Amino acid sequence: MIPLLLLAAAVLVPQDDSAFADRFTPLEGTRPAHWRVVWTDDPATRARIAWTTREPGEDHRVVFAPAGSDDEPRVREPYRSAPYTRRGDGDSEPAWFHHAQLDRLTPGTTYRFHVESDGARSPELSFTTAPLDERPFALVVGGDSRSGWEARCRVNEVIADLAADPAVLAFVHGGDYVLNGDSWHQWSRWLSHHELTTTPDGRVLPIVPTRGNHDYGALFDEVFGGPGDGVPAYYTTRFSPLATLVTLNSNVSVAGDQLTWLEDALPRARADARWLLVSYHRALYPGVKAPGDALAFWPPLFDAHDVDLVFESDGHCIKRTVPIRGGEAHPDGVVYVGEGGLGVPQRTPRAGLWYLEPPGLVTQGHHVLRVDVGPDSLRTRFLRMPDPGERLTVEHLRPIVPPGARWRYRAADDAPEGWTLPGFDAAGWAEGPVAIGYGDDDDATVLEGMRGEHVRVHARVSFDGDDPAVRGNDAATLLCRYDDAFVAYLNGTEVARGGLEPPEEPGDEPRVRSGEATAFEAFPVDAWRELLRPGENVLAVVGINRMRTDRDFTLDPWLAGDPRVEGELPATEVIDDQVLAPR
Amino acid sequence: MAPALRPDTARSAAAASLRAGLAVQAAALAWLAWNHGTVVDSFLFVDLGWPEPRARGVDLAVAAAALGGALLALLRPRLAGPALVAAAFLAVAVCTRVVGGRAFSDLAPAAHATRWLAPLALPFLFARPPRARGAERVLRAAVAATFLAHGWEALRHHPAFVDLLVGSARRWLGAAPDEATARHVLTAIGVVDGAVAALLLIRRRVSVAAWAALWGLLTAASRVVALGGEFVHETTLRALNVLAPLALALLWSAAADEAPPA
Repeated sequence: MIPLLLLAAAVLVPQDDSAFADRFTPLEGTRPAHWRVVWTDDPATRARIAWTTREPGEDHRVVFAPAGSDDEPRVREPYRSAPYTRRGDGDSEPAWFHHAQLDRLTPGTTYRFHVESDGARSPELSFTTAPLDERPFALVVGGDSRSGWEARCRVNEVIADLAADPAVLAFVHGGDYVLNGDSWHQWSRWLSHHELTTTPDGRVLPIVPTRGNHDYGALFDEVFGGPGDGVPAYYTTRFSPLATLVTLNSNVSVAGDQLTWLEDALPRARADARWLLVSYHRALYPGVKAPGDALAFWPPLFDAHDVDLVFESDGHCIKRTVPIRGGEAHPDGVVYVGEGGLGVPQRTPRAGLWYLEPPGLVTQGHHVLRVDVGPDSLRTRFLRMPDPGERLTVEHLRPIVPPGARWRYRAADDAPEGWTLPGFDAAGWAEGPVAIGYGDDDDATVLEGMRGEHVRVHARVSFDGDDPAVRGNDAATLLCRYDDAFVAYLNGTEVARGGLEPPEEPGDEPRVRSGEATAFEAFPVDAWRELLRPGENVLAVVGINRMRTDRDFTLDPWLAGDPRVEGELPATEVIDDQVLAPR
Repeated sequence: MAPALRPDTARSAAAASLRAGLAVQAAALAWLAWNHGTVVDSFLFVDLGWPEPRARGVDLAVAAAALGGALLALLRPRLAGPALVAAAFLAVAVCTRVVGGRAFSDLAPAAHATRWLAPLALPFLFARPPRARGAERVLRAAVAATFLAHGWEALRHHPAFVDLLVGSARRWLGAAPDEATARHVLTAIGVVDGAVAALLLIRRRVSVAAWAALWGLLTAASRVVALGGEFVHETTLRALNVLAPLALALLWSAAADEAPPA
């Protein structure tokens, strides 16, 4: 029975990137979209430019020149143009990829470029090649974009902010870009989201791709490209004399040819750079899951060749191990950091793992890791992005109707006339603190008789419009945690609704989406100043369950005014800042 | 040729083998769920977007059901115990297939057949009178499915299988074949696995079932041999890869020899 229920329930959680959609380049005709710069080997003199068009087109090119140069721009045509592999199951509309290899580039140079397909041009873009000298630089590192589109888009905005710093050289992605590696629809959304990492002035961070376990199939190579079969399974990227990155693949044999290759590549990389970095997907010192199969094979080589820092993903948390050598804590050991927070829902780490005890670190949250590489130090900073819900609290917002306030409520499928208006006599209604509901053990006021009887609860609360603490707010936001839906009114005017979809037929009732009351959502109250009145004001909310027999229901609203702190809060917070000295 | 065992002795020994297998694999699942979470947790949390505490709770409940079912099977000869174990491991197999992200994850329901299907042989042995033929059919299907799936994975050179071969040699012999050689070996293994599966289905040979049990032991143990002690749970999860074909061998050792399949 359990497996059948699981299969029946196998409707993936819907993803919502609508808040960013107007910033994605639409796929239409031969208009270039989804541009990316890819580095695998030799980032000082080579770069792969890839992009997407809806139609195949005939005439494609990359036009590029050093920024500020009067030289005639160079033109490079793609070495490969082909349709993306689609599963044929309604997997989005077809599209074409184009890969062009730029070589004989000048190290440490910013190149301006654009791509053209049948005369349609991308915006003017730029990227900077890796230097040959020992100038300090930085990397943005992260993994597991995978799912959680809204979070992924916000993280990509953070990456664009970081990319505005010319010292930031590249973006090392630890794998698991999408949930299903053979889904063109998912890759198409990832590529659209990746456009958000481009700065407003067109700077594109080259991406150094690692393959994750969900990046199976042909699309990974079609997205990131490469001569022959695509991105090498494992490879070395020498950024400069300061640092070399060895990218490994935890999805192929870890003890066979890859290990043989690593036994040769690591000492050469060690001899060739001040700092030796390694990246792969499946964590060997994980914060959540069991370790990967490479645990017996790779760390001894890391120890033997004094790897400085290892980037891991897959765990969906934040972690920095203590220095490890020989499978135990050692002051001269290898530090493993990660573990995948570019969008995927974050997990609670397991407690008591020796390698994550202080001075190690383990926590959770969407994040990127900024790694600053200098001649005498390697600095790592976790930039954690608070969940929007973390700032929807009275610590950040002035309450008008505070959370947990006492509301009048009535469980009934119909409502008397005027119940949303001031002056309505609700004396006969029950009273209790929100959240109101049943099931899930998350309600302050439990509705014992609602299940099986009603699908709606009507609730109202009054507040004084003459109170300076209320009138002083220029704006108001309804915060609501709900299961399954609600509609809110301020003094009789609807101001917000959630969990409802348009009816299938005109005139029908809206459809209720099934949902879980996991976090507060914010709904700006438009026309707040116009709706606010002297004296009694009424905030009225009807909570709606999808079915009478649903096993849970929650209605948990509060009304917030202006933020306590003026101006925009920083998008990230530094939660860990470590400096490694050379061995 | 006279049967090697008396029928009642064979049935008791087979039931004991299966009960032990259920207990060991259920314990391994419980350990995995408690310490790291299983693919059930991943499916509910990441794929379906359930709140993490609820996803973890269901994951632990599935593991507890397996453990409880195994305990029940040890103590009482009823359907409920084996059915609980079967349901739990079928859930894991289905989630493995749906979540993906592993080589050949689409084959998980077949590859895991000894874990979720073999337990259902026990009720046939618990029945009064025991229905040994029914138990045989279930065990043949389970073991053959697992061998077929793993045989296909071997033919396709599953990277984890390469690592078991190469890794074992590296760790214990100080030298290892290259990957190309390992793939040739896997091709041979895949052919043999397919032949074993076919033979299990068409003939009732104790030697074939015994070989399947021995091979199950070697491959289960290879997780620890190749990868180290941290992976002992991967070995114990495969207890029925050994004990299910062993049970089949025991049942067949009491049957009339060389009879065509029912």
